[in-house]
Amino acid sequence: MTFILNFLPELVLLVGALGLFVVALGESQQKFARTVALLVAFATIGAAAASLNQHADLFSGAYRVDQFSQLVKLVLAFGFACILLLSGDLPDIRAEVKPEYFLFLTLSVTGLVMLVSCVEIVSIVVALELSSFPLYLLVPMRRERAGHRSQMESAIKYIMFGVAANGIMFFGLSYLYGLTGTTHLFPLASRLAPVVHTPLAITGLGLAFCGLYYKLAIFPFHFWTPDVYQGASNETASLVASLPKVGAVAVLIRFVSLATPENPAVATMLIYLAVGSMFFGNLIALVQKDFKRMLGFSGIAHAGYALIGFVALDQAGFTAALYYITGYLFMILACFVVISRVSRDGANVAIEELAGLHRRSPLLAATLLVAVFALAGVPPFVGFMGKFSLLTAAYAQGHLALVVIAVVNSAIAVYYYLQVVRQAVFGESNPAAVAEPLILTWPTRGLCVVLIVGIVALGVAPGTVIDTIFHSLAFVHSGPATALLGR
Amino acid sequence: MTQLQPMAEFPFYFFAFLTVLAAAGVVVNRNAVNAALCLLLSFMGMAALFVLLEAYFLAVLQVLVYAGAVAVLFLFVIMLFDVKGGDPRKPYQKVAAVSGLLALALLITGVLSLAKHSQLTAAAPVTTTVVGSDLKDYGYLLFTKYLLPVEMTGFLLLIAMLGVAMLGRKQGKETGASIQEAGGGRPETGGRRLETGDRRDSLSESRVP
Repeated sequence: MTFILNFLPELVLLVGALGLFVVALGESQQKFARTVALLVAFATIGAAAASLNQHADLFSGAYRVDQFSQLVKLVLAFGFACILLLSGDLPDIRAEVKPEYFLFLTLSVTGLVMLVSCVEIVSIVVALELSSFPLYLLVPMRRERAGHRSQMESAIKYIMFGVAANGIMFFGLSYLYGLTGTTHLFPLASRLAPVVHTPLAITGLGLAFCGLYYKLAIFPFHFWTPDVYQGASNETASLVASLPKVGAVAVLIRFVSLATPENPAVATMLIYLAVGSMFFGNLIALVQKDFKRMLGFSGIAHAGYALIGFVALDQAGFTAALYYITGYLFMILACFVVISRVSRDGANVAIEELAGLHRRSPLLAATLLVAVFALAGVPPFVGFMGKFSLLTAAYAQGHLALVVIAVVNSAIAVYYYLQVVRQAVFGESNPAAVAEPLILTWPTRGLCVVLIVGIVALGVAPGTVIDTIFHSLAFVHSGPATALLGR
Repeated sequence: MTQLQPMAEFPFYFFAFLTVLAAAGVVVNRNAVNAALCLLLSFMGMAALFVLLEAYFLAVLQVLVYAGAVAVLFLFVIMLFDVKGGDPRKPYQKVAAVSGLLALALLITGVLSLAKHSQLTAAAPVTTTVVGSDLKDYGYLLFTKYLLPVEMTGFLLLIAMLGVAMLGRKQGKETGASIQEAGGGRPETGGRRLETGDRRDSLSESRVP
């Protein structure tokens, strides 16, 4: 009985996935499949909330249910429900594969939910694949039409980069296994500690991070990002942009905590990657015309910000990184709600097409403004608090130069975010046909309000969330709670 | 389960080089049949490495599944598609030459720095128990210690199967006509559909930077 409670979110998702499989076997039951998927999503939220305070080691220690994993599962389940709500009737997915779309979506979330609990290398690898494979298949499900076949190109780019990054990761993991002789992360950490300064251990750790950098779209592993965002349908892009990053940060916390705080090599490596991601993402986002592509480059920059938290290599830094990526989930989903509602027939949205949005739909315009200001790091929103806690954590460990570079990058980013705002608020939509009002359904309105409230609430009152995350990260070795917002 | 013996050095290096060289051959070869045969050779080298590790069961599996089934399946598919030779080699572009030189410089720097510090032997190798030698031990481990990955692999296979079915299915009615014209439905030209298609919207051309 306790096993069922401990494993409840996964069980709900797995049973839901099998149910969707049965639904997908019939004649294209699109509406029914969507209802089932939504039910699964809300049931998963409930299950994750019910098992929030469980502690257990399942499957002979390969699977750890603790506060950290359950918290991330709750966030993932929430994001899953949001993506289902914003995807609506999947206007840009081929009609005959719409039920399968919901099936693959559910399976990908299942993989991520299992990923955050795995503490054994083989399980982590399989869970990572379980979350990636459906994504590879969701990208080419976009409809083909005249002059638009880029989804196949982006799908091939996505899978090639994914396979290569995973191969590099497995290579690094094999080094770690060879050094320690165990695949369980906790014994591995203690056995790795005496040899963590040797080149072999650093090489192993560095290579092992690569698969997660790919998921997060960190600078040298980012090449797929803009093309996949642009080539995939709006709904798929909203999934690729949000949930895998949360999962990757959670696993990266488990991996990076293998490196002790006084390990300069790992910290230096992370600093270079963070700086590269921030500059690359922000500078190229400046010239983008397609909104999704711009979000892709800005996503690279935001992954760089999240990496700043890892540079500190302590509990405060990891807390800040997880808090930031949770906030990022809200911000990016809010942006994608606007994209999928503004886009006509599921086509990509250029930034100019946002012109006059405040007249067409005030609620969407408000959602866009809140999301974009939050991404830019304007004070009352979660983006500001997230960056602030990241920089505090890095500064506490003496990384002054990194803090300065991050602030400079935030300033660069303001330019292209404000361009979006300028179009949405002051832009004039000249053809009258485009200016027709957008009628939103009630679920969409509810989703917009929830996301706005989430972005504001996480930014105004971050105390509870940060405290909860901080305590859930108690398994990280570091002793006294170092400076984070004066705590 | 027996403790792992230190491997005999010469056979190890021989088979390791064979595996890596054959794998490089898969990438370099323009002819699909030659590439598939190189892949087969690489799998065989891997099986030999498993034998050296006393993981006889894994070695047999490697030969049966990978060399026997997967590589031969590749050959069958190539035969059915009737792939003619390889594409003619294009002359190297300047970008490729420069990036190749950069990668070479990076490799040389890495090797030199490694030779200078040469601390790779500092960490003592850990002796572990052999897993793949005995079928019974192997099966026992799979269904106790590694139960979770095994079960998850089941779902992974389900995804792979469904994905292949979905991608292999003919396109829907709304675009069916145009694709039939391009010969997309038939296997002979299926692989070339992307090349003959309308490339105006291609990502690589619309990229801004």
